[in-house]
Amino acid sequence: MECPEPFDVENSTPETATVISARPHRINLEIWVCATAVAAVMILIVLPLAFLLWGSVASASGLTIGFFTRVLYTRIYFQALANSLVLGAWVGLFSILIGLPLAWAVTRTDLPARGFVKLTATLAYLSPPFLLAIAYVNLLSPRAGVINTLLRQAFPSHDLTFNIFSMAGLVLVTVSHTFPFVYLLAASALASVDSSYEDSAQILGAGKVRTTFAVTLPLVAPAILSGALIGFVEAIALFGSQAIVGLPARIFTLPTRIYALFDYPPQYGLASALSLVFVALTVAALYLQRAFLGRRSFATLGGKGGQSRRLALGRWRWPLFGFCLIVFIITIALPYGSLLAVSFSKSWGLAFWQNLTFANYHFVLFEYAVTQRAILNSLMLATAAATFCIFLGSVIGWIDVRTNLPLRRILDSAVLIPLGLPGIVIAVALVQFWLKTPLPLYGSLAILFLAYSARYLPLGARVANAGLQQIDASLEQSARILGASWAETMRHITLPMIRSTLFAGWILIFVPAIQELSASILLFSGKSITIAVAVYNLYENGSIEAVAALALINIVIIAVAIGIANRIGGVSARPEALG
Amino acid sequence: MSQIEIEGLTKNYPAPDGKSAGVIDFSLSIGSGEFVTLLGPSGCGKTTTLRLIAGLLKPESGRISVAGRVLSSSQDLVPPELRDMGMVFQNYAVWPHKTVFDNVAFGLKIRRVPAARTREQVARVLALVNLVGLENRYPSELSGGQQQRVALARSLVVEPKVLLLDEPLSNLDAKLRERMRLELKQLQRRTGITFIYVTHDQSEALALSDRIAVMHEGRLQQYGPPREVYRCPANRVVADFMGTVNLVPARVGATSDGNFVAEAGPLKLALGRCSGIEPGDQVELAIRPESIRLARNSSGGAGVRTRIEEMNYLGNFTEYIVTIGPLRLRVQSEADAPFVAGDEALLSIEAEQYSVFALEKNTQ
Repeated sequence: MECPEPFDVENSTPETATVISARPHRINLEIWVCATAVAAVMILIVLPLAFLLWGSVASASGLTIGFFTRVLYTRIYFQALANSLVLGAWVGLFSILIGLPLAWAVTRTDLPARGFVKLTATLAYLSPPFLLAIAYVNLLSPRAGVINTLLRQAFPSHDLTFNIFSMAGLVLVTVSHTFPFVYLLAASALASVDSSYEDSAQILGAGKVRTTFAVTLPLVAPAILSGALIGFVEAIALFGSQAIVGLPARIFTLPTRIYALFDYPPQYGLASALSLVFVALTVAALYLQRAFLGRRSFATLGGKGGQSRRLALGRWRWPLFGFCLIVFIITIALPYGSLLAVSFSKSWGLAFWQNLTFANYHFVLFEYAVTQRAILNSLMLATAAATFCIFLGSVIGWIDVRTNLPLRRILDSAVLIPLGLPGIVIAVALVQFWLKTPLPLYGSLAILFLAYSARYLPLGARVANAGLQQIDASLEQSARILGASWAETMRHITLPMIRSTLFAGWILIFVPAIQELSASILLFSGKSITIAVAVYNLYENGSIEAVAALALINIVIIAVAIGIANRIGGVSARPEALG
Repeated sequence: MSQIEIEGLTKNYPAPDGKSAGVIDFSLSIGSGEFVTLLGPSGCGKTTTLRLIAGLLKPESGRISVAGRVLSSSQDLVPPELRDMGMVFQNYAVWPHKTVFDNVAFGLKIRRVPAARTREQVARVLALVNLVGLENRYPSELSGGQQQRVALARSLVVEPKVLLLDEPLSNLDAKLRERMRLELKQLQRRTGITFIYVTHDQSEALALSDRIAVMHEGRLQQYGPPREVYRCPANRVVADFMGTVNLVPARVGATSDGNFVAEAGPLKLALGRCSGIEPGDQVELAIRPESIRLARNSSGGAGVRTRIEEMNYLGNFTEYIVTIGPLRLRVQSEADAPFVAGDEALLSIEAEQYSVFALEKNTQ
C-alpha cells in the first residue's frame, strides 16, 4: 500500500477549512437548549410550587399561618386527612394480601397457568381506576347494582348485598388497581432470592412452611413494603374513584375536599394549605418507600438469577389457583364485563341482554359534540405531553449524565418533585401561579398541557436518564471530534441509539395521560374538556350507558397504544419507572 | 517546527467518570508528524491530558496551542469539532447502530462531502486499515481488532492534523496487540499525521514513540526519546516505571583524582553524566538487571564477590537474585548462563549503564 495523498498534513483541503470557519455559532445551540430546559422546569414545576407555598401563607393582611391552623383544627378538613390515611392504610394492607400470594405463586411455585396470573396483574395495573369505580357502581350500588339485585332475588330472606358507597367499597375499587405494585416488586424480589438460602434453612431442619416464613419472606419484606407504600401513595391521590364511590357515602378525602374548595367562592388559601398537607403525606410515604427499596439490595445481591427452584404445591395447587381466579374475576372480569354490557345496552338492568344496541357508541362518537371534543382533546394532550416530556426529559437527562454544569443536581431533583405531588395538587399550584399572571391560560388546553407535562416529566427524565446511562460518553465525543456539532451529534448518534427506550417512555406517559382526571377536573373548561372529565360529567348526569361506551373507547385507545408499543419495541408498559 | 505547544496546563478533578486524575503544571511541545506517547500508571493524568488536548475538558490554567493558535485556555475553549483532530478511544466507541461504511463516512457526511467522493475516500482508508469487504457489517459482527480498525479509519478519513489515541490496544489480546502496534507505527509513518498516544505499557511506548512523556501523579517526569528515557531516567519514578530496576542506596565519595564515586558497600561505581551532586550526599542508584554481568570466580576478571540466591530460567534469558552483604540485586543474563543457586560469582556493572538520583529530588 502506498501513502494516499489526502493525508498530507501541511496542505489540508480548502473545503475542510471553509466548512470549519462556516460554523462559528454552533456551540451556542447547546447552551440555548440547556437554558430552555432550565426555564421550562422553572415554569412547569418550580414557580407553580413556589406560588402554592406562597398562597398557603399569604392573605390580604400579610403573612399568616391561619390556613394551616384551620386545615388542622377544623373537623371537615381533619376528617378528610384521616379518611385518606385510613383508605391508604387499608389499600396498602389489601395490596399485600392480594399481590404477595400472586407474586409468590407465579415466581416460586408450579401453579398452573402462571402466564394468566401475570396477565391479570398487568391488566389490573393498566385499568383506569375511575372507570373501575364506575363499573363497580353498576354492579354493587345498593339498589340498582346488578349483583345486589341478583343477591336479593336469590336470597330474599337474608341481606347479603354489598354497598359500594362505603369505605369498604372504596378500598375494593382502589385495591383492584394498586395490588399490582406489590405484585411487581415482590415478584422481582422473589425471583432473585437464591434457593441456596432456603436450602440452608431446610438442611438446618426447618420445614417448607417455616422456611418460607423465616427466610424467604424476610428477604423480600423490603420490596413488599415498598410496593405497599407505592400503592398507598397511588391510592390517596385518585380523585376519580374517591369522588364516584366516596362522595355518595359522604366520605370526603383530601382530593375531594380540595376539589370542593374550588366551588364558588373558591378558597385558594385553604386549598393551598390542604394541598401542602397532602404533599407532606405523600412525600413521607415515598421517603419510607425509598428507604425500604434501598434495603432490597440484600435480596438481589446474593442471587445470580435462575437459581430459584419452584415449590411443588401438591394438593394446594388448585386452591391457590382458585384464589388467583377470584382475583381475576373481581378485578378484571366483572368490571370490564359490566362496562361492556352496559355500553351495549339500551338501559342497564338485569334484562339488559334483551335489547342490545350500538346507539351509545354512536351517540358518544358521532352525535354528542362534548364527547367528540373530549376524545380529540385527550388524544392531542396526551400526544403533546408525552412528546414534550420525553424531549425535555432527554435534555435534562443529558445535562445530568453528560455535563458538569453546577446546576445539574438541582435540576435533576426539581424534575422529580412532581412524583410527590398528587394530580389535584399540581392543578391547584398551576391555578395559583397562572391566575397571578396576565396570561389567560385558566380553562384553556394550554394549562392542561402544562399540568400533564409537569405531572409526567419525572417519567420522561428517568427514562431518558436510564437510556443515556447505557451509552458511553465516548460514542458522543467521537462524533464531536470528527466535526459534528452538539445538535448533529444528538441527531445522528445519541437519539438513534436511545430511540427505543424513548419510545417506551413515550407510551409510559401517553397511557396515564389519556385517562388523566385528578388534575384535569380542576382545570378544564367546556372547550378543553378531556375524556376522563367527560366520563365523570356524564356519570354525574346519570347517563351510565354513554359513560360505559366512552370508557370502553378510552380503554381501546390505551390497548392500541400498548399494542403498537409491543409490536415496535417489545416494550412492556410496566411501572418500573415508579420504583 | 513544533506544532503543539502545551504550557503550564492544570486541571483538577473530581471527574464525572471518577477515573481520571488531575494534571498539574504540565508543559510539552510536540513537533509536526511526531509520534509522542504519554506514559504512566493509571491515575497519572495522561488520559486527562489527552482529553484536554481534544477539547473535551477545559483547563483551569495554562494553555494549549496548535500551529500558533490557542485552542484551550482557562478563558476560552475551541470545541472539539473545530480542532481538526481525530481520537481513538480505549473502548473504540464504534457506533453500534451504523455499519462500518456509515461509521467511517460520518465525518465526511458532517463535512457535506459529495457521495461519490465519500465512497472513494472511505474505500481508500478501509484499504489502509485492511478492512476491505466489511463495509456493510455492523460493529456487533466484528472482532475487537476489526472494531479497532474501524475506529482508526473513522478518524483518519477526515485527514486530521493530529490523531489522539487513548490506550487503543489495551482491549486486544497479546498477539493482536503486537500486530496492531506494528501497523500503527507504519500508518503514522505513511500518513505523517502527528500521533499523541496514551498508554501505561512501557514496552508499547518504547516501541512506538519518537518521544515519550512519562507522567506521574499529574506531573511530567521526563520527556525524551525512548533510549534516553530508558537508559537515563530523570528520577527514580521514571526508572521504576520504565521496567525492572534495582534501586540501590549509596553514598557519594571522591577518588584521589577528583572524580566522584557512588559507594554501596563493596560496590563502587564511577559517576558519569547523569550526576549533579556533592561528595557525602546520600543517593540512590538505578541499575537495570540486564546491565549487570556475572563471571566465574576463577575467570580472574575484576568484580565484586557475590552469591547466587535464586536462579529462574525464563526462556530468552535467565534471572538471578544475587546478594552482596545485605544488598539484594536482580540480574538478567543470557539464557544459558552457567550458575545455579548457591554458587559464588564475580559481579560487575557496565560502564554508564546506571543512573543516580539525589534522595531529596525523588519526587521532582
